[in-house]
Amino acid sequence: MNGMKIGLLAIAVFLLFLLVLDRSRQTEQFADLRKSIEALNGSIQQLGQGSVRSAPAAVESTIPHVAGAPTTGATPAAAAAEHADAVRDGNPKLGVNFLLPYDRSAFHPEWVSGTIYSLGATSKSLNPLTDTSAVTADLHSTINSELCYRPPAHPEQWMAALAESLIISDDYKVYTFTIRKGVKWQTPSIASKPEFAWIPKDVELTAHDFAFVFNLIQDPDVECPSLKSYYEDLSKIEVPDDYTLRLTWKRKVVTSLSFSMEVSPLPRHIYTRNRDGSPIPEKSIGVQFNKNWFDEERQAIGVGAYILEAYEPDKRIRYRRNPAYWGEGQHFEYLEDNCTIKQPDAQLVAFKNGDLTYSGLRPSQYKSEILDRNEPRFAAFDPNNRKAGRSGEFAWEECQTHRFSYIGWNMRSALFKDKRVRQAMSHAFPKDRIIKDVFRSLGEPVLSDVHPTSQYYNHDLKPYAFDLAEARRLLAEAGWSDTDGDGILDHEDHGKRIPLRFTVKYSKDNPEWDSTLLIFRDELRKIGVDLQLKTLEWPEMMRVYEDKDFDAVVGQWTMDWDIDYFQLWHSSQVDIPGSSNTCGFANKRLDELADKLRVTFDVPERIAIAKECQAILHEEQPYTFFMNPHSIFVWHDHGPPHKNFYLDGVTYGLDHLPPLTNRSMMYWHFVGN
Amino acid sequence: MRESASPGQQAFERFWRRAAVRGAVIVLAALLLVGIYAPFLANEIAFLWVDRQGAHWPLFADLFNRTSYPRPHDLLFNLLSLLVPPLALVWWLLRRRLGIGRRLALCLGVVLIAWLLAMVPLIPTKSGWSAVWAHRPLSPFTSIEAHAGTAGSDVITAIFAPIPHRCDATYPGASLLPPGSINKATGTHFWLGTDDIGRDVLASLLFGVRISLSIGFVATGLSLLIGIAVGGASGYFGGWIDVLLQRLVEVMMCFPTFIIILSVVAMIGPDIFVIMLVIGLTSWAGTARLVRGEFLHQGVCDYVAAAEAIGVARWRIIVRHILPNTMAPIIITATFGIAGAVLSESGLSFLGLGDPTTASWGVLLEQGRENIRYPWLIYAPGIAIFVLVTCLNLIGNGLRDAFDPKST
Repeated sequence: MNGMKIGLLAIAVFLLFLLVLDRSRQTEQFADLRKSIEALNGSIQQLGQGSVRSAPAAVESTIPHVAGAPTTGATPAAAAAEHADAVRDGNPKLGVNFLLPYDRSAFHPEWVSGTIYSLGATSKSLNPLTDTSAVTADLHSTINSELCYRPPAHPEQWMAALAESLIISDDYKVYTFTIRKGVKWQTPSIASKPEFAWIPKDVELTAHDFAFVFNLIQDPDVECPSLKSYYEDLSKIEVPDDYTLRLTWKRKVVTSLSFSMEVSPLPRHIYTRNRDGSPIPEKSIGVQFNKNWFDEERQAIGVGAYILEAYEPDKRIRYRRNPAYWGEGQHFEYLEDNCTIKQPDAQLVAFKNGDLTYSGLRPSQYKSEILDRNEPRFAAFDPNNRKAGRSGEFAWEECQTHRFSYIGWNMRSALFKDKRVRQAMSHAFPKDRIIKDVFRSLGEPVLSDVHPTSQYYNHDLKPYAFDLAEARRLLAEAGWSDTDGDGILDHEDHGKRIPLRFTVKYSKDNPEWDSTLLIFRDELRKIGVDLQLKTLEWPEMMRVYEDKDFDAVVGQWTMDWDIDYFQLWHSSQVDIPGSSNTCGFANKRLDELADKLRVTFDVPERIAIAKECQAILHEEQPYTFFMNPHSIFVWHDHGPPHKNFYLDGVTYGLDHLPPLTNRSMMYWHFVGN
Repeated sequence: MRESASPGQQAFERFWRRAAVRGAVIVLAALLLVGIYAPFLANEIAFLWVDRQGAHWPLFADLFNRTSYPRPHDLLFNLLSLLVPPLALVWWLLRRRLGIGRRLALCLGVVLIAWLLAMVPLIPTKSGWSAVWAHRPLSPFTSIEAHAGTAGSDVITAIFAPIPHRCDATYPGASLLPPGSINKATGTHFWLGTDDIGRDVLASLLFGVRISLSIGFVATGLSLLIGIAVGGASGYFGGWIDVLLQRLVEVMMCFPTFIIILSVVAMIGPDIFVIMLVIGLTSWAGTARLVRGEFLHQGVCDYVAAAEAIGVARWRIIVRHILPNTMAPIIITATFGIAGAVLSESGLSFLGLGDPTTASWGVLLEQGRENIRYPWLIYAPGIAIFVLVTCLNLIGNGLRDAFDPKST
């Protein structure tokens, strides 16, 4: 018996010894790895410096290298844009190249370093045209570039990117692009396998790659119905030579500007080939494209700043910096998206552990971690210094987004067809209190669907103040009173008495809305309105929007830089299944304005129209416009020793690249598109 | 032990002899009273309100206002708060005439009939027939009004409940306040702090007693009903009925109960009554097995044979002869069942599948999980659940020991 015990003890000690040995080796290995990474960093820095030699040297010297030092005054980029502002108001100039030159000032080769780990998500397919998910769009915007960009500081203007110049004909119908020379397609990672050895390397981007995209979109076999509807009016696609692309539109419409200019190329040399490298017959390219072998191999390439290195569904996405990138460099050697952590609490723990170097905070986490100082590694909130969060061990900062949230009232319903009822709802909604108590002041109230910083925003609108007495008065005026003494207002509609009782449907994904609606419910109870809550899973929520199956619904839209009142508010969209006019809003004057806006190119005139549209929406209140949420970004300062590379890269982005133009919340301040 | 005492009395004496059990019964009774009288303990509406128009008793008028108390179980408890004193008197007056069982049945019957009557529209009003329990305008005699009034010029004398807050009212600027903070709207204290949207935790806790007890009794009652019916039929009749019903029981037992509850609630939606029903409908298999065993055991006894010999109807044998003899183990499992149901609901709410519009302890606990740095949101409901479940388990243990023939 004793012998057995001693034997077991000996085995345990041996195992422990092995464990310790393994640990010490691990640190050695880690040190080796670190050395090699640093060596790599050095060489890449040299490479980066080489690639931006053409940028003005003065730019680098004016940018402070120390984190946290405020960059007051205009930076060269902003100054250049401001200078441009004096001559340009956002109107495209006809007959001449009106694009601003490509701006490389946001890149600092000395900051290039390391890997940034953040949260991500994967979708079913990587197909750039047939997969409409935001996740896929984000991925392609990271690995690919567009013909033209809106400069981050001045999104009303256009900047050259893959197109070196653009000339628009006098009738706004013909767009002639000159494509940048010497831009190389990335080589997919599978090209190293022997069976894919046929994939050509160092292929140059030509105008044919763009024509290929337009042809695919217009090909009846390709399954991208929403894209097709945008390009219905595109009548001719011509490629006179390898570096010239000419698009001809049937009609003069404002939307053709961005539909022509914000286009990314697709690698023709891959999508026109079979898996074995043999060419696909011209006729079946469209059919094959829907389910092509390149997607099945989970590959995607572009001409952009990052190369897709690994794509593992529901696990991770990894990008590598593109050393042959044509544009300004990027500050991170690798980007790695973790797709496994779904819970906000787990995300926060992962961030604190360093598994994520970059993340966000929910309002409740912001309150507990930062405002209530439960995590001393975050710097305290300072009302006088918006950048105070950068000084802690974990940096944080509040940033604007380009979204707005709302409660939509279904105007087909007998309850909400009268605008006074909708106005009363807006008066009973304690917007400011909810932003303060639930969203912890992370957001600003909005009055319309335009971002408050946009030139199109109508500042003359008077907000619907929280006023229960006014709400009561409006409801009484609209004929709602408590005739049967049951505490709930009622109203006679087609000979039937209906009580003012309705259900708000909302998605489970935002716990803040639980609290928001419970507070709203409590206020409505005081004026005799009964609000019920119903949470739904996201797919079910999509069905609710598409079928317009609700009395009231909570939603969120992204605010585009381009103003368009057709999609959301035009009466022609009311009865179309799946359309965006979910509330059934129809207004003759707004229809006229929306139509006019689509053919008006002159910016001051567009602003006037947009302001009138907002005034109409404000009066009619099809939505109770709620707020423009702000995000809290948190990140680690984990650069190599003695250097604040991460912090520099991030803080520079936060200071200089406003979010209005960003596609992906995650990358807007790194990928300055 | 006295020779003259009946087996039931002997068991009760054994039960009551243990101090822990006595304590548990007293705590449970106290919780029950707190549940019944919750509106008198935590309410915005004044108990007595005297102004220039005269004296009002708004709290009593509000007890049957569906706008204030939207859920049927609230009405039941409000009704009990009025009926408990007269029923206690009746109980005492009838003690010489009727046994405990009949008195209990009488009281329950009165409550049930009153409850049903209160929901039937029987009272004529100017706009048609209305029920006792109907929607009415909210009372204006609240602590907020009084606070605003004392600040103004009106002379008001009002008596309020010890906690002058509604359990579901969201007070402005009162989000996540620590215990002891002042409510600006009423000038009174939040003794146990507030949750993330500014509701009083203590008021929610008091009203949560109602929810927890309702869940326990409704879910367990339902599972007992099904369990006894299935188990009784299976044990008494035997043969193919037994085979069939036992397979059904096995099927039910194969499902992991909590997972079924999770999926059903996810499908139907988080309503507190759905949760009660689902817990009841999925937890009867154990009871059915137990009852079947007892019936098999009792079915071969001489008294059953005697009853069959004189031609007593089968259902009467089952209900009047065998069932009372199997009651002891059933009551014991029911006690544990109530504790289990309370825990199930807390677990569900904790996972975010609770009814957010209901002030249940589980929902409070879930808020605590979401706001983990605010400990009062965890301790308050956590201790409450712990106390209730411990009391029920102690009572269950006491009953088991008391009914065990081997213990003396």
